[in-house]
Amino acid sequence: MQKRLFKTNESLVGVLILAIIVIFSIISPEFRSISAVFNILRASIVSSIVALALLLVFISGGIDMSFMSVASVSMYATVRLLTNLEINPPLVVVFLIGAVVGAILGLINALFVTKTDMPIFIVTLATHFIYKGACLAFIGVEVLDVPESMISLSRSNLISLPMPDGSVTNLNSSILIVVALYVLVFLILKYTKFGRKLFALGGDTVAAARSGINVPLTITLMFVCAGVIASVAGILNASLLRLATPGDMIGNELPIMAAVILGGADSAKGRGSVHGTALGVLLIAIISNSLTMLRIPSYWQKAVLGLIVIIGTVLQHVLGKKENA
Amino acid sequence: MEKKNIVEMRNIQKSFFGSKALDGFNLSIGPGEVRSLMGENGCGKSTAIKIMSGFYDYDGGEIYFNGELQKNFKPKDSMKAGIQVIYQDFSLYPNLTVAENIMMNKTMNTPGHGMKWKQIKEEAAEVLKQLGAEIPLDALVEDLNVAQRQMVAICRSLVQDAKLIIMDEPTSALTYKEIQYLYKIVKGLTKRGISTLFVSHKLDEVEELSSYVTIMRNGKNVFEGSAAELNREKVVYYMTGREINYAPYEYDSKGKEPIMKVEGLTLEPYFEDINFSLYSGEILGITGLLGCGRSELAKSLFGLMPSQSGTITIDNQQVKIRSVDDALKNRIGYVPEDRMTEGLHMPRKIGTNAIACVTDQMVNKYGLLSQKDLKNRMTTALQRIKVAGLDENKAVQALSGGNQQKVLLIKWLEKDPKILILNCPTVGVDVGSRSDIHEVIKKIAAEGLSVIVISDDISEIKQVCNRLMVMQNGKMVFEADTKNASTEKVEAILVANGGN
Amino acid sequence: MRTKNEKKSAETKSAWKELNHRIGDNNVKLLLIAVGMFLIMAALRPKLFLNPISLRTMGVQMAEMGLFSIAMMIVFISGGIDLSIIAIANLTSVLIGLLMQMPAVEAGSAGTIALMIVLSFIIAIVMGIILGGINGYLIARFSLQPMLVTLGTMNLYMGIAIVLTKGKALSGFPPMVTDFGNGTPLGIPVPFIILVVVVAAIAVILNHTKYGFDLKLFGTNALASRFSGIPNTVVTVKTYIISGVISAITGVEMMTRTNTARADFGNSYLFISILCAILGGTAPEGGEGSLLGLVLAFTILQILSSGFNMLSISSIMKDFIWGALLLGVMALNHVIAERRRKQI
Repeated sequence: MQKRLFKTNESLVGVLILAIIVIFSIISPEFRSISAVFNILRASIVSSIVALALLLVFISGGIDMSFMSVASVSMYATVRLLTNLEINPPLVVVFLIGAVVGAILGLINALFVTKTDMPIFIVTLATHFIYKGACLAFIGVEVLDVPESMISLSRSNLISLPMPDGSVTNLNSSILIVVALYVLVFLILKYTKFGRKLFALGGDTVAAARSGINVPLTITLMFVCAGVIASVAGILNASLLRLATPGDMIGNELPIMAAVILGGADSAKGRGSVHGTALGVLLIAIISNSLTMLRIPSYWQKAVLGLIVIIGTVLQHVLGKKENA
Repeated sequence: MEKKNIVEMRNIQKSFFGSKALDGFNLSIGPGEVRSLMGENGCGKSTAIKIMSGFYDYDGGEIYFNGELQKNFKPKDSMKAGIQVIYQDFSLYPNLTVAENIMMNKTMNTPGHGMKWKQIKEEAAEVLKQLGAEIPLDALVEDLNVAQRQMVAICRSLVQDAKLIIMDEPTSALTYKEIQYLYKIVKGLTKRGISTLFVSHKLDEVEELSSYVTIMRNGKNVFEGSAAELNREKVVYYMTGREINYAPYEYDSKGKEPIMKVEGLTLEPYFEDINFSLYSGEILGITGLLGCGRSELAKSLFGLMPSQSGTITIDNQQVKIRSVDDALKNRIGYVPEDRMTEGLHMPRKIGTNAIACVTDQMVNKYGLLSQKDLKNRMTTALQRIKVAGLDENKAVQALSGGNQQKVLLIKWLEKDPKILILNCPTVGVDVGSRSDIHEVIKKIAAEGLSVIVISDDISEIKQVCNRLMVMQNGKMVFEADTKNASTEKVEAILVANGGN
Repeated sequence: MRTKNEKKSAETKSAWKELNHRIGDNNVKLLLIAVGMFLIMAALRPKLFLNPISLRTMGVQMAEMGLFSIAMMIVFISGGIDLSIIAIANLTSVLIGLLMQMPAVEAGSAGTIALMIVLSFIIAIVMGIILGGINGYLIARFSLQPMLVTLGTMNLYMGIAIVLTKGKALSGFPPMVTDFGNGTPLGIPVPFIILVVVVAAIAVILNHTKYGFDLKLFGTNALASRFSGIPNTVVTVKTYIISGVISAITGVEMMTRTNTARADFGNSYLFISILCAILGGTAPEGGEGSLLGLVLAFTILQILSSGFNMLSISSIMKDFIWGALLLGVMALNHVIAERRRKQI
């Protein structure tokens, strides 16, 4: 058991996070403040949810390239619809409409994956461009104001703490949605047959079919789930920004992928865990936050991120090797 | 009360694209029976299994499960009737735990959407205990060895109320001890009324289980009877329809210098202190049970697993073999055991495969290869061994196992080695091609090439080699001229000290 | 009369078969599509399409698409993928751009600048070897998934380019530089000449070198290659180096043509290069790839793309159509494969 613990990436990331926190707390006193913690949490609200969508596909053995466009398009289509209808429904309805769009986009992914035998990576790369292009070409290119209910979400805070300097630092209540989704996905992965089927697919597709698992159905369900989760992230993002920008979020796939991979998900081996993903997202958020706090220009972020992905991948391999020998 | 047969196949017909795979095949298995199914590759064994388990439909005949006529049944129905197949690859999930693997099929085929982990773990523990297997429930299957994986697969079929477990060549990757343990398990199952269909091509296994034997040829039954009625020659006859005679390879090393001398070669934990000499033009056989270090020794001589200590002398020159490149420089060739994954590039052309090792010789002064030269070389290479209908432009995967093996041999002969190591050269090869390959080996040795044949098949060693050595637990324990070593004697040495 | 006709049809049939055999079914299909597209466009917009200026423009645009596609294809044949090609191109062009902006160069004589242009190709080759070599080394040494490694290096290389430029575009190079990039010796645009040279070089490498022979075997089955004494590590590193060098040269081409160097230039080429490779019949699982198919594929895409421009279809729509095209091709290939399986 002890051996296993250090073989997993989850623990590696955990140790890394601790080390970074300790180092930065020593270097920069700002880092120790509660507002720094809130900043990091706030920065990870949206990315932690898209990461869950990606995690599901990783576990089943595929790499999804379309999750950001699914998130973005479901968000924009929903706001566009509400704007055109000139209605302002409660927040739940907004999320529901988004979920329907996300589910449809997921279904399209699933359709092509199950019908053409092409790798998920290639199919979703294609749909990524289709969704993005279709959104801009057919739904609209204007930046839209979001409905009142979404704005009110951005204003509702779970915790508000007055700071010594007189300002107030807030933690948005949507963090609760994050927690709820993480618990939900954890339960699905661990305690439902559907969740175990995903692991089975990631382990050995042929064996899964022999076990009597309906492989196409499972893949379809997975993409629908991933689409719904991504849509939640998209709508949350627009709510927090109080603006619906077409093509928003698209192009930011890498930090999420990096987070999921660093969190121990491995599409080649059918591996991945909810807590690992959470740690991965936190690690990425902490790193980019610390760069800002150390006043390193933002244009360094991309290079640092690339380096982290490379080091993470190599480390995963080297650690795994040592255990086998 | 009359016992009903678990499965009964009557006069089954099955064609693929116009060619008959099964032609009036019959098989019935009763409760608590151990049955062996023997036959060459392509005789229809696997087709019969896939029909029984519902993965293929059939063109004619009748199938009964527990006395009931089946029509259009699916894998699910076959499982419900208690028929469970353990494939050679076991179909396990490396990323999941032992407990979950054991229970996966059962869970997936019971109603409900939730996972009852407590029940899953209890039931898995229970079935492991029944078999007396000590495998931790929480271990991941990727960390298990082959024998443990097989146990997990057997447990998985037991929890699904198996009445008949079909094992497809279950011993091919097991060590001697593990095989003995498997026999014990199978006998234990029999006592509980669970039948086993043992697909095998090894007579000693069939004898050990003292079972009733069905031998197939060309999709038909050609022999039904007890194992006691059979001997090696009869099995070969029934499986191939012809009798095969062989003359042992005559060789005299008197007055000759060894071409290769191996002294004290060691690679922990696989083998240690290996000493032998190889003379030019001789065929040396190395046999031993799985896990005795024979494959590792071969790979070490070919630079794939460099040894830790010891010396290799070739033509009186001490050489270091640390990489495949070193081996090739010393003109050592190696024909691997698994031609599909290690030997050949299956989707590529036969011609391309045949010259895969020799393109470096064809680079011209501008550093380029000419397509015409390549083509010519392919044509001449394929003339080394005459094979009917060998078209250089066809993909290797379209060939039969025997012809694939011939292409693999051509590929290495083309490299013109001084020493050629053949690891199990006739695994999965039909008996006809097998004797062809043996003839080729004898011919090339007679022309001066030194050959090492590694095989677990003693009759093969006796047929082609002039000298044989036995490995056990990583050591050479026996050496003799083939003429002076009877099969029985070698077998006795192999299993002495309880094998490995 | 009748027999003559029959004979003729038999002849065309065998000629057809011969063509199919020679260049492969897929390539025949692509050739027909390319010719068809060309004729359609020529018929729809004869004046716009069939004039030397627009053909020249197509030649220029095709060059970048084609070069990146070749870089992607060669990695595909090895069974890998290289997501860092665009980043390598941009990092190279940024580096050369910075050199070009050095006072000594800017104030230099025509001779100095001409020398710099020659030098930039040498720098590109060196950069390609280093950056591609890093990819190949990481993948081969640690046996890592190419996709993850190049995802990382893509960001690292792009990040370095951002750091070097502080996120801004470099421009305003000496006029001679753009004169070179937009030059048309004998009426042929320079980018197109670069493309032709690279295609020729890759044709030789793939079909007439030991590396090319080994590459296809390695892509088919790396283990069997190892057992055949093929130096897998060397093959992998060489593959990513070739891909890197082609990308870096494309970077020089882009810079001299557009007179700018930017860290995030031409990102859409990444997807288009994958599209071209698959359309051209290169199997993403490795081992197979036809250069002729690839050339036909990017020719088709270029005719399509120019067609869109002439029919004034917006660039937003293009994303959508490219994606749909890739899915359509995959679905079609699947249907054909299924039908063939049923026929046997």
